[in-house]
Amino acid sequence: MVATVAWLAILATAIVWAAVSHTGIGWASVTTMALRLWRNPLGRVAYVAIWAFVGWHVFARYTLPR
Amino acid sequence: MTRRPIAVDSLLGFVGICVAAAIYAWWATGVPPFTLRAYIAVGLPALMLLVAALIGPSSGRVEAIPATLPSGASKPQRVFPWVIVLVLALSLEGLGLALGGRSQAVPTLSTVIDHALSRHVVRFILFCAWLAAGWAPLLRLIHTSPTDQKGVD
Repeated sequence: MVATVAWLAILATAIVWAAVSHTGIGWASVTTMALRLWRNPLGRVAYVAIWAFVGWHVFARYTLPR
Repeated sequence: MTRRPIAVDSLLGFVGICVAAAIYAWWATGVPPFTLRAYIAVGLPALMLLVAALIGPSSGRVEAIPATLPSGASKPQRVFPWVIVLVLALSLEGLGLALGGRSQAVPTLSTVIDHALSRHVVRFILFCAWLAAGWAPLLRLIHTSPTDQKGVD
């Protein structure tokens, strides 16, 4: 239960960070980091690979809890 | 780096793409896991993005992506807040995996997400977010005017 709350807290922090990064505080936004990765072909392939793995793991191989 | 003003036809096209993506997402999240259809449902947009990333119309524009703030300030953007979140997440995931991966006390991220995925609506929302996260950089590059990118960097 505590760890689940910790996961939710991490998720909430990431959402807050994403919002704060658009206020001009100088933090890199998710989009900026993604675009930096897209600067070269290898980075683009890496981005797509990581993204595809997340989708494959979460949406094609999830297990419904009993 | 500025953005083009959005024309009406572009807006309609964007809405059309969003509706099509939502219909696809609803179908894809209704497919049972561990099936060929599930792999195709995830693999199709991934393959399309890979092709678009390598030979797409905007792949030649990425060299113009600014490394500084959008406002033009020369101060580099800090990534340490994201590093903190990443370290916390990896630590918790590592602890969960060290305890066997199915621990009730310290579940892994996959186990937590599995509970959320038991509802089709949640799967649909997460799938839409996944699609958006993947395609956002490419759409952002397409949406950014090539003329505006000249001289950036």
